[in-house]
Amino acid sequence: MSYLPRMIDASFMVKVLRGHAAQEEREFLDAWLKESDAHREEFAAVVEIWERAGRAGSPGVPDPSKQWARIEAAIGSRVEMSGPVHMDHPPVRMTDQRRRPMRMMRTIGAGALLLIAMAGLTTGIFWMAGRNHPQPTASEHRDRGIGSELEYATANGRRAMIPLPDGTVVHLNAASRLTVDPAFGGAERRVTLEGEAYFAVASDPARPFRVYTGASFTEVRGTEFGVRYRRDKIDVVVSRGKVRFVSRSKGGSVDLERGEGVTATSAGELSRPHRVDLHVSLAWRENRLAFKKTPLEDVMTEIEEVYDVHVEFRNTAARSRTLTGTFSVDAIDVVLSQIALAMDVSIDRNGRTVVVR
Amino acid sequence: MDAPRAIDRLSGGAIERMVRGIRTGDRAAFREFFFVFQPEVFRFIFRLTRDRQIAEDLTQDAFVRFWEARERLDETGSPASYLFRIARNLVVDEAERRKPSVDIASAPDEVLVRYSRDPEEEYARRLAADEVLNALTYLPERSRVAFVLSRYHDMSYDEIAATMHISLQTVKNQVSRALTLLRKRLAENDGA
Repeated sequence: MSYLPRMIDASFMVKVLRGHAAQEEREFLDAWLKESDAHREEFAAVVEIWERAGRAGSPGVPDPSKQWARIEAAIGSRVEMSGPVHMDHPPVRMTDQRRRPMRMMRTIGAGALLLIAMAGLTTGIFWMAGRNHPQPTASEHRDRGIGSELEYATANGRRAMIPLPDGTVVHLNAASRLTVDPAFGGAERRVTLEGEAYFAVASDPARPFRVYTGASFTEVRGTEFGVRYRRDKIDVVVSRGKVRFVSRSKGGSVDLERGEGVTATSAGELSRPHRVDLHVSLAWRENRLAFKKTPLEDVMTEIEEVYDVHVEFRNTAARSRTLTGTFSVDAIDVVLSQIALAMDVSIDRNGRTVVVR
Repeated sequence: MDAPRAIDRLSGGAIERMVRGIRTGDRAAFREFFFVFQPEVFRFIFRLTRDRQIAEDLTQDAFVRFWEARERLDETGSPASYLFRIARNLVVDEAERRKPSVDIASAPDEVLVRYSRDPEEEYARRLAADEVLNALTYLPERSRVAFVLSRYHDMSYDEIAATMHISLQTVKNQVSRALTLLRKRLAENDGA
């Protein structure tokens, strides 16, 4: 809802900064800023504090599986999953439409929707059934996993949070695609990623969680890490626990710990593990854009993905200039003007088109 | 340009479905709900208390209370708002309880640091330019909560008003107040 206040205070500036303001409100602030240096200084001070507060790190979160166990104990455990379970007659409780987990989700077949919807309830059953049937026939296939392939895709400017049936939570960045294997939860918990995602993996030592990217995969047992697979390059960074990165084509592997990362080509050529700045690599999760000596060309590609805009370079010389800095994601015009200032270029936005001169 | 939403990244439909399940006592739905909201709730409490152990305990308590209130859950209201309201009340109660030894709202950072023995957290503290978080501990409770929800939890002023049970205008005043006080304190730090 848009309405114009009698006077502009910090909360109004924040509303504009966060992109929550209507056109009319933005123009109102613009006009106010043009009035005097004092107004501009006041706005600059608010922007500075807001940005500075955004740079503070996000605290690590305790293992949700362990915490859930304590909550379950506290609310009194009633065994709901005991007794024989007939998977041929799953207790379907809702229609597929209403159980659609996410707006932007695309599924392969309606049956998949029902199965994923039930997965929370029957996860334990799937696992047990999987162990009882080491050599499943085709008809028993779904006893070993979620049954059919699930695909989650985000468009430019969109993000998604995807809870998987094992308790793992995946944060999918913009312009990314995550495929959950039909056998997820069988011998391995297998997903395939194109794009960028952050995984908070539920601990399950018996079933490795593997993220497949081109000719390699990242394997974990219960940890938090980010994977980025864009433009034939794979980056893995670890923020909690330990992760093994394996090249399927070349056969090599590296073990990574907190604060370490590895880079690989999609063909499976591995770099050596190196220290990474988690604040830069995982900035997108905190609604921040962080760059460290990043060429402007790559910076603008990221802007395209995050804001769903199209960038045109009219200034070719500027493409290779590098940028270091952190920006809050929720204010495209502020970000663009800061980049323009730092890079000594002019950047204009007209709707979804951004021109660098 | 819509900013990506922290709480609402799942479509409303998914959350509503979980809440419908929770109201009928469906633990599986509650488990799913917990895994979705646990990180947000923990971080919210941690940002207010700056104490990992307290935050962990109170996160747990918040979800237990949410479950206990399941029959009173309003299907039309925002479950996130309700959950955050519970969390905030727990933080206030905890601060009240600890008052003789530690006043979270006014204690200097040195006192709070005593409680954070987690090396990972210490590491994060060093990494972050977290004077702002320190400065936050000096703010009055209401402006601190309003600022934290706005800055770190992607809530709109309307959502904050619903969460804190205060008027929209009060939310705006508290956010403005937080920024003014932070600016003053950070200017003092920078000058020192």
